[in-house]
Amino acid sequence: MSKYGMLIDETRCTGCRGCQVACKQWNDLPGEQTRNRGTYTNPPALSAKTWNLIQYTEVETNGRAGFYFLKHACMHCEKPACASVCPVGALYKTTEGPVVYDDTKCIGCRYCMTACPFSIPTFEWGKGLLDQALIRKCNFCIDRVSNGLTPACAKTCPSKAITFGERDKLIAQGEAQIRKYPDKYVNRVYGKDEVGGTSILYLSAIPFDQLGLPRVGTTPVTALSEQVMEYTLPFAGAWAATLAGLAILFRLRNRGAQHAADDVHKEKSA
Amino acid sequence: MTTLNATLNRFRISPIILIMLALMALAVVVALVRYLFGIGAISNLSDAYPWGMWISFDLLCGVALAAGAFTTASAVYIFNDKRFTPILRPAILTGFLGYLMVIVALMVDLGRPERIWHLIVYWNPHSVMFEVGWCVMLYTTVLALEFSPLVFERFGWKLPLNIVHRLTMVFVILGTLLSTLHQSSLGSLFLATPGKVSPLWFSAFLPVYFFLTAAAVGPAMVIVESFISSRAFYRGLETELLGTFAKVIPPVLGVYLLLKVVDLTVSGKWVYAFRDGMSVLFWIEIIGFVVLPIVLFSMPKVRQNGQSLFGAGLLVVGGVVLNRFNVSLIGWPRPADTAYFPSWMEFAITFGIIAAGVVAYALVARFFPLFVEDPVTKRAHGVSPEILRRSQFLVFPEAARVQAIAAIAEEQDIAEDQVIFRQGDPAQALYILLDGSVNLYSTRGPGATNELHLGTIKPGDPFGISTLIDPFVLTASARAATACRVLKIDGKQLRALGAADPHLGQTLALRAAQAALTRMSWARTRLAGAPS
Ligand code: SF4
Ligand code: SF4
Repeated sequence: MSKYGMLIDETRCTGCRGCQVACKQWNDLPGEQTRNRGTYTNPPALSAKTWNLIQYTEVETNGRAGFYFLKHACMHCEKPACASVCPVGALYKTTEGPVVYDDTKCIGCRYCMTACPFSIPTFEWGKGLLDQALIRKCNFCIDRVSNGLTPACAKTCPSKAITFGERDKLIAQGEAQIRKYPDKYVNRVYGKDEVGGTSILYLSAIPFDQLGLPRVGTTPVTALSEQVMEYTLPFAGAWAATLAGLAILFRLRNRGAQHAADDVHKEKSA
Repeated sequence: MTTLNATLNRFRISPIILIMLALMALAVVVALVRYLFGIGAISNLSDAYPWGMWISFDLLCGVALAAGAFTTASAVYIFNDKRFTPILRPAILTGFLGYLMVIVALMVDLGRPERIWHLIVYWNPHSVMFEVGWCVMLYTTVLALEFSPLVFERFGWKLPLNIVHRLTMVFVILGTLLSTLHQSSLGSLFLATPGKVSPLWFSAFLPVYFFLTAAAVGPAMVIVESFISSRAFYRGLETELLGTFAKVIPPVLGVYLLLKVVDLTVSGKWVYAFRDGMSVLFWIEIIGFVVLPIVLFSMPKVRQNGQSLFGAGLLVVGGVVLNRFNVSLIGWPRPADTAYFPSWMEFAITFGIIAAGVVAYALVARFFPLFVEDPVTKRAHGVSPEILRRSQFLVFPEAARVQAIAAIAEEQDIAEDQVIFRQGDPAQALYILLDGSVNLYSTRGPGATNELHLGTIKPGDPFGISTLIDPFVLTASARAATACRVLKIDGKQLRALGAADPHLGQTLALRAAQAALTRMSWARTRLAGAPS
């Protein structure tokens, strides 16, 4: 089980985008040219240049319009699909909790993007062979965390919506918070069990799917594919033996038929 | 190396080949743009659509449509049915080229193509993509080995040929094993995306479905490809053989259909089949491309006719293409604010690769012993009745007459300058020129100066018509002006046909007389105009 996590209390988030900017600063990510699309969410989606994004949702509750925010970034899954499907093991889960990326291995197949249940990894679409395109996503500020610092986003948040700490304790903390203010929260810590648990945990006032977090179930999405991979080698052995057996069988059968035909022939000529 | 030159001459740069070359050139330019400015510069792929047409078509369909190689090879060697030997080499070639095309496409689609070798050194055995990568590498190698006898035979390298022959069985078992793993693993790829693929297509049986549909499309592809190549290379179509091969399609698709129905029932997913646009796609796939081919291929009438075989084969091919697109791209409900349709440059890459495959096939067909004789009857199967249409001389409205002639005709290659027949000899056969040019001349004595040019035969023209006119003695000699391809029809057999079918005999005699007259008047005009 992973050590670290972050508990994000979306009821405390003010949508100031401080974390979005702090992430760009620490990771040296350039700005993006955007245009007004009639929403505060800007840029429109995560990208190779934006690893952490505040998404804005307007929901009507009890006849009143409410403004809700989601700090959207990699969930650092306990059983990360991205790492499970990567053919060269470029993505992997560290013992500290973060799911990180070895950019010297990646072949750019983009299976991680396809498989991630939260559609987090992004790709550098505008880079050619010389610029060396890579997969990009939040890395939990592994460079800060492994040096005893908190991630840039958690450090910045002025309203203390992001708590960095040990995952187990954060879950207990989140559940205590819900017990304390049962009217304020949805009665669940999102990420405790989702896809086998994630390092990033959410508290919300409105249903999580309205906030923009998908319904994903509690089994890791790669459970089935990993199982199939386990059976592959034994299956291959059995199948090879079967094929060889069939080949021998049909050979013998044909030979038998040939002999029979020859015998008939001999009898006739005799 | 006159034969090689002759062959080179015969490799006509037809308009189709020209179009293919143009498509290839365009793809190369587009690929250059991609390598300079990134995948985003040429495609509509995005973070919302990391996989697009190249994965759905070039990879998934490409591999499935290469399944003819392993299905035919296992029919011949594992099930030991030597009847299928004549279709083995073309099937292996299609599979081999198919895999090479997949690799080329991956070199465009992969974000870091220069690191493809990482698959060999960095392992993640949990990843289905890891298995896919290894299967591509290993099976392409096996296909190359299965294809190698054509090369060794062509150049007469006995030792390697012997070695490969001895190991055939090993290659075939390995190839079938790798194909099974690879076809099914492409389905397993999507086991990791349970929430993303529509429930109509997502299933724990995806690997089994992918394998079964590949096993069905293998023979279908062999049929489609044989039909096309019989037209492109003016060869006979092994209708009977293909009809027999087609018999495996209904049971395989039947098992697939049954499994699918049980699966949808047990997992309670039928509601999704009556809901939205995807339900429509689902029914098109099931009714049009599974049920219909099962019915068609079960009918002897369909299996006995080249064109209906071709049509039904196309259905299976189309069905597998639609299925792969549904599983990997279309059947994915996505956020409303995202959309994807391949850019023209994505199409350019795909078409360029297909074009390269077509050209490579044509080249191999011309330069290597691709089409071999039927080992059982040890003779050519006659020719496809289609070829007869290339000459007015042999056109009859009645299919039976055309078929009768086609059955006794054979194709021949003639090298440049070769004398085909000599004046005064018995006229043993009627010839129709298919390709190239032939000179008719009459001899007054030995030596080229004593030759009197009587006319030039163009493709479609008959010559050796004396074989239809009593006393069946040649009145001129014929020499190939360029390397030629001709249709040769045995005179005795043709006259026998005419005797059995007087209308046919009369028409042929009449046409022969007309051709003789035209030729005579041509020669007379020329003689009149010639300085004496
Ligand atoms: S959210 Fe996606 S990218 Fe992040 S660890 Fe989980 S699977 Fe990987
Ligand atoms: S794109 Fe790179 S990191 Fe993602 S699965 Fe492929 S090789 Fe792994």
